[in-house]
Amino acid sequence: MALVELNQVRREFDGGRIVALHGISLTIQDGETLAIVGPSGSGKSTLMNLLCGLDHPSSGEVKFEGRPITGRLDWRRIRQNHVGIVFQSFCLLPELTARENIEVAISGNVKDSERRARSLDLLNAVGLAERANHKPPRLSGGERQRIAIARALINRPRLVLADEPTGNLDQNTGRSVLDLLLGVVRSKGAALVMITHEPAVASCCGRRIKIVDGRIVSDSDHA
Amino acid sequence: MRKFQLAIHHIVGRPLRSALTVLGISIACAGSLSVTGLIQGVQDSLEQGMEEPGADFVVGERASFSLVGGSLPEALGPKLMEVPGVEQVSGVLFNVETVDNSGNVVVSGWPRESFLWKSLDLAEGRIPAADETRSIVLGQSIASALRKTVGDEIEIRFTKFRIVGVARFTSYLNQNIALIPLDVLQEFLNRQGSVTFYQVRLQRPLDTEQIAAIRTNLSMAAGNYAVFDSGEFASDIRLIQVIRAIADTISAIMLGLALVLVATTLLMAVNERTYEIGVLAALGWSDFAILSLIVLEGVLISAVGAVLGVVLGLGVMEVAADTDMAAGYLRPYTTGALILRTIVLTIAIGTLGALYPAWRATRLDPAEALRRQ
Repeated sequence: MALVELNQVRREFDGGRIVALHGISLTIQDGETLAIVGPSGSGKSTLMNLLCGLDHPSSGEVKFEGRPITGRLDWRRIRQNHVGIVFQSFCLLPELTARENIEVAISGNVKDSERRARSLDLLNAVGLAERANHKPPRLSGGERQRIAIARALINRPRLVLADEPTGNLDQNTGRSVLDLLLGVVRSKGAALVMITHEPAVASCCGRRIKIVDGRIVSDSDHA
Repeated sequence: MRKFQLAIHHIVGRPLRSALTVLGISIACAGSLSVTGLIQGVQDSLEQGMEEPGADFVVGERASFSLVGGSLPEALGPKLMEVPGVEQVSGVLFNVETVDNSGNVVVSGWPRESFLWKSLDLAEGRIPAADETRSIVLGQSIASALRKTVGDEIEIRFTKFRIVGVARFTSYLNQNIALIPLDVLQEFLNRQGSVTFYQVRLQRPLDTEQIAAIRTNLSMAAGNYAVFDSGEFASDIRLIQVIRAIADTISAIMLGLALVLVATTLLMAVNERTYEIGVLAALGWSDFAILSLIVLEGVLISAVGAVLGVVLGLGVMEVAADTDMAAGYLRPYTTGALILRTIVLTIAIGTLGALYPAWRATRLDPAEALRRQ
């Protein structure tokens, strides 16, 4: 069974005057690494939002583990327990420390000691244990993105979505963050869907799809 | 990272706004507490003042407008005395006068042979002698406030009275009372043959049923006048009811302002934190979790405001009761129940004020919110 399945998903805005996605169908398997490439405005971010329920299709169906998901609450539960998201702009809360930014994503009733242990474990994994008590404004871009990666993995998700995770980083930092992301995701056995402009970044993934004008124009799985 | 810690972060993170909101809530809370407490204090001291001489019932006018407004004929006293089970009846004439052209004092006239004089606990001096017409006994608080003692004189309506005694009382009303013989006060006020109310003491021992039966008989003897216990008498005075209604209205308006303040502050916070709320929603926080985070902030802000407000309110009551014009009437009324009620009410108002901003926060579209960075 596919982890995520999109069937003829269409997304319109402005009463149908703008069509971001034209009936896209796509399946993502457990443990798969998938890069979504395409020019700006092609519908990549819309697709990613639909994959985690931050947005909802105008028509078509999204299934998670074979079950059609439509409700806000179902999507919140899925994001909380099964999906980790890494944003291009990090999306860290500036008033919280690095450790707190990770812990804020922990789902369920977890004891403080376990919260602390899990967040420190991930901070170690992303090489920022010594920065645990630093707030985002005192961290570099690369460090912030590593914190965001740690946060995305805190609930041991089955799917990690990364929207241009290296887009705001210089080349060297971007490369090291990418290696870290791929390494950690693979070690946890999660699937990774990554949106990127950069062919070099896309080539690190096992599968690549290209979107142009809201349509999948190529899929390396079906090449 | 628990919600409580996150809420604290948000409040502390905007110190000026949080402090101003807390200040606003505490002023509203203080206002509510002090107006409620002061009027409750008036009623309470009146109730205690009626109880203190050991009277079981008060016979007075129904729904008298003010404490001094009653006018009952002296001829009613003997009729009340005839009721079986009644031990003593004493007419009392009340008025409020300005003493020495400075402070107000409640002047009470008691019949010379009344049990009220006999049960008086004198700290010094004596009660007025049978032939004295310009002798007065002061409660110890008003004597102290006026810096007067036995042998000194005070002036009421351009007439000098010599202080012959200072009496100890436990009730606030009586501590600030000036006592003169009834016939002197009647002449002084030109109200011969009239009293403000009667205080009735029953024989002992009596059980509850006997007391109820005596009350019924007293009511029949009293005719158009009503028989109260001291609590009923105090709460039946229309002026107190009117002041209480005004106090309740002012209190409600103040707490309403606190509600608007909390709602405005949190709406601003939600608008400013649209992006952050979007992040939390993207991380999978449920609607309830987001709602409870915002409500928790409202609860915390209003709880701090309530505690500060209680302290402020107690101070306001002390200052208000300490003014010359209020001496003898106003006293801080601060029971644990009143303080608890004020705190709970303020927190409830804060919670209510937080609900709409919290609901707005849950309605945010996370994808749209994240674009607001």
